[in-house]
Amino acid sequence: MLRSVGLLLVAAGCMATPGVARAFNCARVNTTSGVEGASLAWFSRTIAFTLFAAGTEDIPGDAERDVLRASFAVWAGLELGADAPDCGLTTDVDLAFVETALSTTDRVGYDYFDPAATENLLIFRDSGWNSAENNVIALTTTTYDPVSGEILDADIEFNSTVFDFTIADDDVSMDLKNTAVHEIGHFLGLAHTSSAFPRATMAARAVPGETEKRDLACDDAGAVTFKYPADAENGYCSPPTPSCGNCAPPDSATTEAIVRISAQSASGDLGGGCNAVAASWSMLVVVALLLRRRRSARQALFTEQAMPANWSR
Amino acid sequence: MKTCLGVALLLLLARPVGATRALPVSLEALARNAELVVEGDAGPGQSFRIDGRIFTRIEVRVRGVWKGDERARSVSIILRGGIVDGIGQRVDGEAVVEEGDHTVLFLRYDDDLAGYRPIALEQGAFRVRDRGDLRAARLEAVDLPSFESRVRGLVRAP
Repeated sequence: MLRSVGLLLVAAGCMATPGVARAFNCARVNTTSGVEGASLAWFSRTIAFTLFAAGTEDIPGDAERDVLRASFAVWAGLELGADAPDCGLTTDVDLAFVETALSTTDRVGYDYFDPAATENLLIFRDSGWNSAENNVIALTTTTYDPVSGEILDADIEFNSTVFDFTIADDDVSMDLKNTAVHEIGHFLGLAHTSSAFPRATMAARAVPGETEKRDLACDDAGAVTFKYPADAENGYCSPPTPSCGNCAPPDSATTEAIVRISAQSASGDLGGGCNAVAASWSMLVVVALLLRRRRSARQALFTEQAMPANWSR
Repeated sequence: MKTCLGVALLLLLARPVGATRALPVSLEALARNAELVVEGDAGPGQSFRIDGRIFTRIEVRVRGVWKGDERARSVSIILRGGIVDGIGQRVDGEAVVEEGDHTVLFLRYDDDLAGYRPIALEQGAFRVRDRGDLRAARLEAVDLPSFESRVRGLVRAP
């Protein structure tokens, strides 16, 4: 099912709202050649997340759980800040975040041997944060398929070793929701906005006491509605340009297939930018075969790979 | 194109500040907290994984040591993310050091990973570029000798 959804996404090409200034950026596949590849995206609109059972000693009781749940709801519900009442959005999102049972496994990253056991974990690190990263408030680690850009796993770690997370409106230290909403943007495949939009929730900077990023700025809302528009395929643009967040489609083999589809379309529009691309089912089959072949090769590697490297931690 | 046209004017370009969510770190703090500050050239990367995490090890051929053991001729740095067995991983805000990069790195040694890590992810890695290559966001531009002089001054400061 997911594969089918993915194929539709690939075939969809790109959609954008012309004429709207954009600062958001899609996170993309890092290639060894230094050229960025496909943008990262979930290929399902229903996304699971898991809270680590132990929580954090920074926050009494289990109150942090509700804050994290509410942080997901900000993206699903396009909750805008008071200073962004009308963003001129032309579509909604249809993301649904589903919480699974609390986890006692603090594994971050992808489970190579049992992918089904992989959890999208949110975890507080009350101790043991790497000293070279003491200034890092939180980290989101995203695992993906390098060919399609499909996100396979995303985990968020909060640096409660160094920072004192708070949830109240007064005596704010490092506001948890302010941090979590930003990290969930990464979880969804967004990178940092350009520095020209410092008030966007996906802006890179944060300071202690800040709470204005508990919800979304127009740019964040524009980003998520571009990537995950309601009742439509994921948004991409080819060629990737800043006006559409550099949200590149899957890798060149697939892209070329899409271009050929476009050449056969009635409009014949190949002019770049972010135009929706018509697809013929015959070409979809070609794309499916391409992806299946690559996926099969990767799975073969899984079965032949050695045991994990013997590193002590 | 990295080929320089005529005079090679070097610009030092800081990465976009901020990590996945991080406090800005001053140059003073970078210099103070680094165990090793080197200027060098990045070699090819080799990704590996530890459990579910992927890292990439890069050998940096040292041009100069600005802080730390001046005998260092090459340094092994470890970055989060990479691709192993057809699975990719990234951490937004991690330093990006690519093969062939002329770079200045503020590093601390990580015993667990047996290599150096840039301090504060991307904030501890600077790329030296010629003026014709503007792939990275240009947030700060100074000439390399001035930057070196400034960092060495900070290192010497009590």
